Amino acid sequence: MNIIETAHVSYDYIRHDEEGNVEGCTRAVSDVSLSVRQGEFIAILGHNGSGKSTLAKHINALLLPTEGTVFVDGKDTGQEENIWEVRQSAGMVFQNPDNQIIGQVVEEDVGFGPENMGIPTKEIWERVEESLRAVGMYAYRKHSPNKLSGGQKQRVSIAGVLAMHPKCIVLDEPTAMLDPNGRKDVIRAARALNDVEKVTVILITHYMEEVIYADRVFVMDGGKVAMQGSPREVFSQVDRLKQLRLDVPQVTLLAHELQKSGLPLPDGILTVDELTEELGKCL
Amino acid sequence: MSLKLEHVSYMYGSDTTLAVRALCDINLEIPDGQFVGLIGHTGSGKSTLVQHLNGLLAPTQGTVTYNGRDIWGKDFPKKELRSKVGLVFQYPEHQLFEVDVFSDVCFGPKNLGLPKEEVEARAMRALKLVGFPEEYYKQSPFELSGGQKRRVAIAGVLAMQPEILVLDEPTAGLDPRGRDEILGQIAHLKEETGISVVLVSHSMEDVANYVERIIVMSGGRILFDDAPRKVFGHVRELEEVGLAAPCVTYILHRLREKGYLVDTGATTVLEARDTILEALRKKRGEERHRC
Amino acid sequence: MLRDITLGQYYQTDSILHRMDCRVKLVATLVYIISLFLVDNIWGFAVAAVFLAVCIRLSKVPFSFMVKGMKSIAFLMLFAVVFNLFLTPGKPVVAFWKLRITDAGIRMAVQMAVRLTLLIIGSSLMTLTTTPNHLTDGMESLLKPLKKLKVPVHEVAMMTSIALRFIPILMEETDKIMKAQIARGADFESGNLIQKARAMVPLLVPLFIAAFRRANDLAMAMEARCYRGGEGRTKMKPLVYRRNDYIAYGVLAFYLAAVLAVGRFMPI
Repeated sequence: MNIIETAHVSYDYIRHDEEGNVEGCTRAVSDVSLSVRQGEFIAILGHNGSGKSTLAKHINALLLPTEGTVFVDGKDTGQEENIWEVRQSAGMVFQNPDNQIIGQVVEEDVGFGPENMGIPTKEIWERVEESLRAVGMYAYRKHSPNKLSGGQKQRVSIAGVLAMHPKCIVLDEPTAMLDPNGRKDVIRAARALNDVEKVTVILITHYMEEVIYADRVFVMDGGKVAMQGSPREVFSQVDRLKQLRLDVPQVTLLAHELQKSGLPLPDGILTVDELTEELGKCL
Repeated sequence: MSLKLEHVSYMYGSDTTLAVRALCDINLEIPDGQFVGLIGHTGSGKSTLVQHLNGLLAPTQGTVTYNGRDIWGKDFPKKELRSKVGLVFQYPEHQLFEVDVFSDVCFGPKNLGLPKEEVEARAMRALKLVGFPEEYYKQSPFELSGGQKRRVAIAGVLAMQPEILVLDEPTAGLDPRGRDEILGQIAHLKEETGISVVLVSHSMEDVANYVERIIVMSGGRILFDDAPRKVFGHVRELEEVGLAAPCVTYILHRLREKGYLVDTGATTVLEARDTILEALRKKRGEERHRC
Repeated sequence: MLRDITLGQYYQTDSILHRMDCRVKLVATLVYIISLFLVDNIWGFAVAAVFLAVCIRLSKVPFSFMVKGMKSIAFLMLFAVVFNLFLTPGKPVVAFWKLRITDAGIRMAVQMAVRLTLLIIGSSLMTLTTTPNHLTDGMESLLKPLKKLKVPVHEVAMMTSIALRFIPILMEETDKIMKAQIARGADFESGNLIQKARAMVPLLVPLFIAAFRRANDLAMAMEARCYRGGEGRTKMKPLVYRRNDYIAYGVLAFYLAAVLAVGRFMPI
């Protein structure tokens, strides 16, 4: 069954002037239809302002579509009575690690979601322990979040969502404010959730290296889905990606340049190993 | 004109029992008109170092001299130094406060006590240098996109006409095109004005295309201080301190191991392409020879 | 530097007082403060001081930490003492110019000094042995009866705890903004009061904008994690009285009786 199903979703941001009158509206998401199967690892790419974060907030019912419908685990997010179930089955991790940790101790923050859901005390503790272990932060359970690095804070946030036992986690640019090491740790944690816990992961990012492990990639531009396919299919279109203000991984770019210089390399090379092997064939 | 750090060490909380050493015996000189990359992961001491360059932090030990004068000497004009060594922090949101872009850029030169015409002329020039479109001069800086905010923040410091411009992570949070645009703009303004630029980053790939010298920091010390191609040669050492050489360096090293005669010092994609093509040609020649 | 300021300074160690239920500590502090104001002779203060000394001993917090807390309000104390010293009517002991120091004034001033010292050390002992979130938890639980009167007890407790979490973050942010503006030649130190106030604008505008953005993000993050007020929430760390806590209440009652007997009703 599809865990997420959006049909012709559009969303308008309405701008108000100082008196509160409607000044105009901006279409941030425009006619997006996509479906995600349970257990998939999905990446959504796009430059800043392409509408990818707006789309992501629909999956958690933080925003409701102006037009179209969003179904999460078979529930319409537009129905008032579904909101809390939707938010429980589709968790969300945001960009800024400081602005989403509520607790003053790591374990208390992870317990925040289950507390809100009314889970009995004993089970909260079990869930907190499990979740912290899953992201490799169990040793820090008694720490203050202020003393952690950015990558560690994001992993605590992921654990906080995981403790709510969601079927799907939306990560909205979780690595944008991190350094390369923090970025690696967070992506590793996200992949582990998908592999081990079988949670559907939707990763929103503009770092190309992070999406090569995804099952499917959607590229957004101007509120629409501009490209979709496997990472290889998407990255084989280097020039199209550049048009969309995006990059390709450096290996792919190098392969593309070599290809342009006349070497018979296949499209969409993603790793160093692939490139060296293919170069061997060129001799 | 030069800025020189000699045996600089810095301890956070040096008067308490919880003192943490952030810098350790730093020796470094920034001459005129150089494009420098300062690289290190979070906690390597690079941010602390940067704050020593314009006298925001005073070294616990060692001296910082500007044109041969100790900046912590009694009668040294600290304010003037801050206009000569311009420091742009990571988040433009931390400095933008005025009602419109133009007034915000005027803030720096106004603090220098310059006459109004001079202030405005400098602001105008600075905004031009960062490529900020004139039709948005009267726009609120808070409504701009991330890339444009960053331009305004850089212009705000450029307007003080520094001789050294230090940029802390100018590309954080930008998308790939935004990142290339801002780096390109910085390279352009460096050409135009001839000032020195210090680019602080944790991404080797970002700086490799632009700078002529790379300083690698780790654990409060300078690990390497050399031309990019030389620095990237130390792949293993870089990895040990949690940094990675640009991806092309890895590819070239791998090819070299497989017996291709590539130049592993190439740092950009285009350089890498050329050396690979060259190596392939040689190798083909060899094989033909053997036959 | 700004980050050195610690608010609600908790001293991490393991002691009977640290393990005690926060509600007991809150009630005890309140009772202790009230007792200080009911006592009016030296013996009463002596009992209160001994009681406090025993508690400090039990808490394993070094005495120097308490003294540190005193420094910050030394001025306030001086003010209260001087005020009492000069303005209490009674038989003059010393008089010069328009000022008179009376015997009652001296007595009042000394009492006030002792009272305030004990009060401050007593309450700082509570903050030193209780984490801020235990404090808010305890308050929420003790004030629960007020819910019936439509007082938003849970919301106030949640706000306090969020504020406590964000204070260090905003402190650091202030520090960064200050440096960014100093780098642009801003001057936060020199000038008269008006100039100084003016100089704060480049600091306050970015700080407020940042704080609002954070508040907005946080609200969204809380909603995304199914937060919808105190209704139907369970607790990860519910407050449960243990045997030691009941004993503590007993000791407290005994202290109150003793201090009142000695300090108020026993003639000197």
